[in-house]
Amino acid sequence: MKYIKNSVLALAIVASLTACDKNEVYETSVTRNLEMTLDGEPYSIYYGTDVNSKPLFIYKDNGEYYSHIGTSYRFALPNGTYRVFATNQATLIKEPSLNLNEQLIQQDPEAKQTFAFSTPVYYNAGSNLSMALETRTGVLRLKALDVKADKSYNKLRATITTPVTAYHIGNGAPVIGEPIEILLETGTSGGGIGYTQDAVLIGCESEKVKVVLDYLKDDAVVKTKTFEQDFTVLPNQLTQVDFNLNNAEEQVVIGCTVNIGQINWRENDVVASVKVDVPEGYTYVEPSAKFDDVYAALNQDESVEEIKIFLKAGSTYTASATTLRGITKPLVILGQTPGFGQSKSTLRLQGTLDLTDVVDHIRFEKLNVAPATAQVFNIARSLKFSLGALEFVDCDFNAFSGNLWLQASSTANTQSVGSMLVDGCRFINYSAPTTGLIAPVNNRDNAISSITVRNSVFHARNFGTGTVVLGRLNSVTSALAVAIEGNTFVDARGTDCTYFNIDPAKAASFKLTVTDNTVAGAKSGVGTWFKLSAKATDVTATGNIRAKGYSMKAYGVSEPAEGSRTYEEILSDLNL
Amino acid sequence: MSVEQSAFRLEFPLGDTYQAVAIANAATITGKDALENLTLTLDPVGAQPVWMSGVERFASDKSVSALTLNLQRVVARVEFAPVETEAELSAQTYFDAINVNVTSVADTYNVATGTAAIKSFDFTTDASKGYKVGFYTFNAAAAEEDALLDLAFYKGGQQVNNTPGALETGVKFLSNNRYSITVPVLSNDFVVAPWSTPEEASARSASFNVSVSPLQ
Repeated sequence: MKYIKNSVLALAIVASLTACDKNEVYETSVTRNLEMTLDGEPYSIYYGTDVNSKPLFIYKDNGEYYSHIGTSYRFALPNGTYRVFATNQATLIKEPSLNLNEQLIQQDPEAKQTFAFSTPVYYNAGSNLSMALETRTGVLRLKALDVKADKSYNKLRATITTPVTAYHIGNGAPVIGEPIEILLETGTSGGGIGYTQDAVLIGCESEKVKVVLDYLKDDAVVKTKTFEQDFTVLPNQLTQVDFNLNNAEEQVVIGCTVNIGQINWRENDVVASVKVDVPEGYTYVEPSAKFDDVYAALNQDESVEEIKIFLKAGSTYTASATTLRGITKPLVILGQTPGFGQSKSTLRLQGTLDLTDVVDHIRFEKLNVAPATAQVFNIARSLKFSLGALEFVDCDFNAFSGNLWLQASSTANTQSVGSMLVDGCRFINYSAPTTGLIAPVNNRDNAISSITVRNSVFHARNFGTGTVVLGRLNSVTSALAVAIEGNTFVDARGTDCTYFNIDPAKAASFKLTVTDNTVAGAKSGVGTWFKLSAKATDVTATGNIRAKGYSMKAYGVSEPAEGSRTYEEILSDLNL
Repeated sequence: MSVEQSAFRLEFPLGDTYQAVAIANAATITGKDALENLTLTLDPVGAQPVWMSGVERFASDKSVSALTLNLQRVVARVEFAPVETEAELSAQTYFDAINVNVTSVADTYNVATGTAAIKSFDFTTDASKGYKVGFYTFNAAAAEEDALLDLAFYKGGQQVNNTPGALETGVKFLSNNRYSITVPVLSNDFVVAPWSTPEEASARSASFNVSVSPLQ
């Protein structure tokens, strides 16, 4: 291999001549022709300013140092015979003034330094000079061919033992002596794969080097490999040693342990429930969803003509304060039929309800209704509407103390209701406002065609002394039919209330039917069942019963027959 | 390979990479030729709980000398029972066997992908088992919907009643969870054809005694 230095153009310095006796006369000759090669190729001289730009070393015949010069200019020497050599590593010659017979270049302990020297030649001043530089070092390359990693070591140390201790410049030959050791360390994180170690050694044809490889884990030797054969390193040659670091046949033992993880089951109790079967046409509100959002979306959707909402049994939904104001589309809110162990779906009303314009029907069914206010429907005087049907079916009201329907005085004939229906509802622990559960507008003309209360339970927390269920019909101008059927009235407090206060003063016609009801109370002799004005002429009362041992102050219709169940039995049958 | 003890030593050729998984109690293991094919199968009724470790990668390049595999249960246990007591169930004459169809049950499990094949299963039970059903299933988290139960009631081999549509459980069967599912099989709300008339039902329902005194 050739080592050719980059040349930098600069002028070399001409040699200095040694002092000589003033009286002598010397004849000098100028070198005319200088030829230099490196490993057979023309050598490009380094024109720097450092020592390496002066490759030529001149010694006298006896080995005494004469000079060390560059070669860009012809130089003159006193006539005589000299011994001359050139090198491309002039910096390696620390003391040029040493006798040529003692000039040595030591083997680099780091095995990195290469150099080329020409063998010293005898030269007569003035004649042609030809210097053949030859690279005196060679490379020993250790190369691992492994494809399988062995991570039991993380560093490799190659120890090269060579008897070639130095290069003798004067002789142009290697120096054989007491073997020296060269240690070269390389880390490996890949378990040895790809390991390559180069060592630059002074070449020698006659001698061989030995190699020992130590495998180190964190600087402790875990294994050693000695190369059985010794290697020759020739000048300017690469000696490559291919080998395997790791023994691919080696069996690696791994200790395996099988542990048992978490022993305990996570327990879950599941009560299966009947699947939510959403009736056709209804929009189901998931328990986690917001009632307000679903209602608002249906209300704003122009393609929706009737709002039908389905709620899950056992779940609680909340209508915010203004959500159900200004109802303009027909509305049905239906709760799922409760399954085993389930209660009705609860609808909390944070505000009162009202409506406007023409609404065909508003219906609440199978709900536990929990109003936060003292009215469910609180109709302001300014509202104008015509409602086809208002219906509460199979609804529960617990500890309610307000009106289901309260109409404030309005402009005449701006508010009308077709039919009102309370069917299968339970008003438990009810506290009646003096205006009663259903309180239409009583001082402006308005229309209501029918009011039906049937199969419902009215249980008192306190029925008070005013109206309990229905009153304020004196401004109804339409034909009106009132039907009270199959209800149970339980005055657990025993106050002097009036259940129905009916004066159809302006009605075009009026009809009242009272059938199959049961009245009971904690206290006899108080309370009026029906207070009817003279205008209520068409009254039919049949099949009504009062609790055994119980009687009211007044009935207003024919006295209910005494039944077989006492007040306590009727009360306990309510399963409150 | 099968092992008998929980601690053992294995020899591996140097420098290879491996994946290991430990499985216990699986009824059948198929596809042992490649990890991607490894499939466990269990019989839901007859099975024992299947335990499995995660898939551990390691190299035999001496970077590891010990391997630990932690087993976890990869099955859920589901136990179905009627709400009613043994006495009530033996006293009734409406049915003598119930077929319970359960959706979202997995009886096979692919180890590499961690996926289970979700199916429906029929389990039959009768008075000798107290009308109870117990089974194991692999992790059914991948099921599209929560598990549903469908009950069919038989008397003398003939179907006499069934649940109106599927019953919801609200859960998917997840590993290492035990589910106790109860259904009131004698309740009219849970069957298509009522078992009993309302009078009979109310005669059985509890009555409450309430004492009332006037508020002062």
